[in-house]
Amino acid sequence: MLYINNLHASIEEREILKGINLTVNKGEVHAIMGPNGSGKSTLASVLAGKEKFTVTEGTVIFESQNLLDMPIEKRAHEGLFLGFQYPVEIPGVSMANFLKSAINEQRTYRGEAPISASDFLKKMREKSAIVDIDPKLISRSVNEGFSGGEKKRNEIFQMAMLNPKLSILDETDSGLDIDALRVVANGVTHLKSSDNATIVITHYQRLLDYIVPDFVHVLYNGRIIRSAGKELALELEERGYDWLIKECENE
Amino acid sequence: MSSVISGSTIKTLQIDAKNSFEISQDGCYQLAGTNNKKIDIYITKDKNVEIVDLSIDCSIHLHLDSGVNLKMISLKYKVSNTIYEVFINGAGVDFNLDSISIAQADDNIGIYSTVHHTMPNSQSYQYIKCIGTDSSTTTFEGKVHILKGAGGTNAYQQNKNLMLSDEATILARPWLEVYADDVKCSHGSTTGMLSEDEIFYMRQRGIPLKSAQKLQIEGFILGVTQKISNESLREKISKIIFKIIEKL
Repeated sequence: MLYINNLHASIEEREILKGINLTVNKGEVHAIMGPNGSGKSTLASVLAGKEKFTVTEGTVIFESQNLLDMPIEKRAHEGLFLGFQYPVEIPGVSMANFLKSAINEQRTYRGEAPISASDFLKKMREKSAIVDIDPKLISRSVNEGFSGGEKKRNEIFQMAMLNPKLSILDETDSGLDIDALRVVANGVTHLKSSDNATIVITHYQRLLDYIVPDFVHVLYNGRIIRSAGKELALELEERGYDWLIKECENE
Repeated sequence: MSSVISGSTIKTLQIDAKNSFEISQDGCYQLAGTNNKKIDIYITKDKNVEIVDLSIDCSIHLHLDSGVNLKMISLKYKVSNTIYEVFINGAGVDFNLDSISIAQADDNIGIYSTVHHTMPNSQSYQYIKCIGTDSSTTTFEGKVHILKGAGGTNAYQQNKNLMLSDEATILARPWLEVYADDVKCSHGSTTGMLSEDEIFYMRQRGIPLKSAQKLQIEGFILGVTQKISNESLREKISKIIFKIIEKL
């Protein structure tokens, strides 16, 4: 589904990603871990198409197409979803209006008719239950005045509404208490299927107790320095990153 | 001066020798006109008055325990200066203002406001939003004047400006003059372009750039138009505004 080959990206002449290689197949869950400033969020932003980053080298193929050539919205239409670390507040734009526009743009792209008002409402009810989001929030402006936990639930709610092929969740667990974490993680697990894939970016093993990854990658200084199974996350929790960084530097 | 009265909630309307209105019961007014004649409005003992003003100068005199919700809509005028002055002449007065202006092409729009608090324990809340497009110029000058003896006043003024073009000019001059003690006053003014973060967020969900920009502009304006409680007037003004946004 996703093939990242030797991806280099920089911001204001400063290179952040220094040759990322990663393959994600349908049905897989990948966890990307690593210390602060290693490039985790940059990777997510570059895949979503954030314009302040410049790709200087490498290729990204998503569903047999060149992802890096696509404008931001086309990446979304093709099924790429980014769960934001800091979801953006959009004053004056209601959740309902926002989601309906997003869904209909995606449907139009696929050659489908716009969603009917009743189907949309039904879908909203159904999907809001997955992350236990207060229906009152849906009538408000996008993320405006939402608590930290509500914003993160809202990201997973939107993911459920849009049903993407590849979800990249950027530190969805940060700022969540244990109950909210469980709700969010259960939501992600619920949405998992053999047709979609998830990349979970996280600092802590804690989230991976609920969203069990098939692969764990450690990102350090713009490169993936270690890839292994879910047991790597446990080891990192116990020993930190230092030993791995040292091992990598010795090589 | 021309005036159109809309809505059926108005029960009493008196026009005095100075061509002024006196409103003594619930009402909703639309004062429309493009000439520069000034309208004087006196309100007493009524807190449910809404005035929708399509950029005509006015003086509003608020007496004991009265209140008014004023909506100022400044659209599609080549050159227009709207001057309004509010006199809070009684205690327990609520003055609320929501204003939106959109300047296009080489429009030159001015909004000049003064709110005088002359009596104690009243409040005024003002939200002024301006949009500048093309090579237009918008000037907002808003003064809150709190006289001696107007203690316990609560006055708030917020001005937000949205620039949609590099050639547009917005001049903002919010200003407080306070001569009384024991008052709560604040004002703020921000001027910015469309938020790149908001646009990115919407595009990431599949909303194309143009639509995302429109949604954001609508969002900026909706806060004002949605507060118009008279439904037909709200729809009429929203329609005019959507037409303008479509063309941006």
